[in-house]
Amino acid sequence: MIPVLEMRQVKKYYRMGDETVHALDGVDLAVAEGDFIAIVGPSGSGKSTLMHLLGFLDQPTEGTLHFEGKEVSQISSNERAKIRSEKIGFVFQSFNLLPRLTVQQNVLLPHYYHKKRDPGAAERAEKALATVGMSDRALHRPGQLSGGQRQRVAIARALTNNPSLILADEPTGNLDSSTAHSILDLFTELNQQGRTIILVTHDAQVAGRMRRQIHVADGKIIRDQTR
Amino acid sequence: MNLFISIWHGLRQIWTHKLRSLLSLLSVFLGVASLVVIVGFISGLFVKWERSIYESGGIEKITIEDDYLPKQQSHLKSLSNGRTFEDAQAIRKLCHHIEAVSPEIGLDGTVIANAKPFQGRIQGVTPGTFITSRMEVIRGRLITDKDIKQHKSVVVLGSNVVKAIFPPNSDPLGKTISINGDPFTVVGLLKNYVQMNGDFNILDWKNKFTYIPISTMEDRFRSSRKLTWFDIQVENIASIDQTVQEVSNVLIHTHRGLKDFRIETRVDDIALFNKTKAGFDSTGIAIGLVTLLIGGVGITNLMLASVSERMREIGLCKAIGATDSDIFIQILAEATCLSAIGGAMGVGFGIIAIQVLQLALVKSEYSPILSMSACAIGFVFSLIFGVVAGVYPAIQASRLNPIDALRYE
Repeated sequence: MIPVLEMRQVKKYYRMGDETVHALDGVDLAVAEGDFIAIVGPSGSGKSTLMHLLGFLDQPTEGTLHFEGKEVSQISSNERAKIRSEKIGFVFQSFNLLPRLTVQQNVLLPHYYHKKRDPGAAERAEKALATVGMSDRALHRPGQLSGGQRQRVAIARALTNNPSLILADEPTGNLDSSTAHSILDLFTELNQQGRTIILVTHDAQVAGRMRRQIHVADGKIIRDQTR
Repeated sequence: MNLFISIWHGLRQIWTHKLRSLLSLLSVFLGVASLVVIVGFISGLFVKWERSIYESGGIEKITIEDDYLPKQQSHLKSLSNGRTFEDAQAIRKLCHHIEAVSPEIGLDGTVIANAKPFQGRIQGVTPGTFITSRMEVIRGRLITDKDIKQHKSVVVLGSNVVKAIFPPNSDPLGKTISINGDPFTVVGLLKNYVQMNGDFNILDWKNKFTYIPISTMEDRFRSSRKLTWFDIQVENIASIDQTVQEVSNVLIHTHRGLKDFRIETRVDDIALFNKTKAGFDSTGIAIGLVTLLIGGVGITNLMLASVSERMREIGLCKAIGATDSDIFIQILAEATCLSAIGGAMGVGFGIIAIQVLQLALVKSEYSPILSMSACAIGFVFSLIFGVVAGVYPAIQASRLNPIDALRYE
């Protein structure tokens, strides 16, 4: 089976003044369909950079990147936007909901940036809200919701376009432990439904709930284990 | 993302920051409103000027005036007879492209009927006068060539004269009135000319005249045969130069070579009119546009602030699939909506302001007229300036790196 996403000898350098920072220094990684991955590492390890590459927010300096079998190492920013729009669902630590939009409108937001009209979008948004258990709050605004509820809405937003890959960046970082637990339960449930999920965290306990753990340090994968 | 959704988002964003949006569109609003009002005043003046040119004969009118003899002819001064009715008859007979010739002899006099006097201008005229001065009878008839030939004692009255000397509901036609002591029969009543500018009738001068045949005037009231006014109406503007030359030839002949006249056309008047109007219009529009420009700068400023305030939001939109051009259009649409709302409010306020000013200045000849083209220019420029004002912030926003934008606190 073709992996959803495959990295070979991927390197990412940044220039900071006169110095070159090797944020990623030769990463090999294959994400299979249905994977449930935690990327773990201390800050400065390169896990954020890895996450940006996995989410097509950035592109590698060297190495190759394949997405659903296609070579996508050096593509234009519009092509990356298209992949993000159609194939990737993002969940952030600080939820990033737009306060002036209703829950429903927030969930539909990715659809606005689709180039083609999609008559099924509203229905899928409804379904996504049902999946995260927020159907009854569709007309509320984010300000009227608790942190856990907001993150559920953000997850629903990530689900609307039926992505191949869900990327979550410290999704429980701003939540208390019981709420965090229920959010992780939700991710587990989504994974059991067949979703491919990658979660970035520095919290070993959170990482422990994922099936596969990838440890990053100094721009390299130092351990990749599957339970 | 389609344009309508961008505009919808723009409007939501503007509505979210009502006060801030209102303040920054205020200068666009003032710019457009001032443009509409200033151009309204200018239009008011020029529409009246234009109308008065038309009502007094229009652009096709040629006026013949008395003039001093040139130096080399000045010793013949005692031979000069000035402009006469015979000149008019010769011109009518000999010149081409002539619509009407209007020789007039006028004097101040008193018209009396029913023991009520009216002090005004008595004009000895030919039928041509009613053409050059654009006057029609409402009842009865005008002065005819036959009246002139037979030196008849008939009179055509302006509406103000009728009102002054006849009781309401009476029929002046056929009645005898006294002009400077001589009896005349009323044969025609002129239309009442009204061009109201508030309470001020700019055509009222047309209603104040008493017209009698020019020959009768010469007989009864004047020892001299000299004309007081002498106008010619040409058929069309293209033949003015030729007609001026022909009229000059005839007059040189009838005046036996004496150059004691000068011929004036209104071509220069019209050129002056157009030049002055263009000058005023462009000044008015320039003032409005400068204010609008200031408004545009205000909108640029607001949008820049708004972009840096919404870094995370823009980052998010990019992360979930917005392209650079989506963001560009979104910010541009917002700036344009903001400016267009200001423009539309300005047009609305301008229209109301002109109506209020028309009521307030009802007795003045300076009351404004609503210019639809000023409204259109104001609104279109508010749109254009909105787009221009939005370009820089939109470029800034579209260039944001989603990673940096998401990290921004």
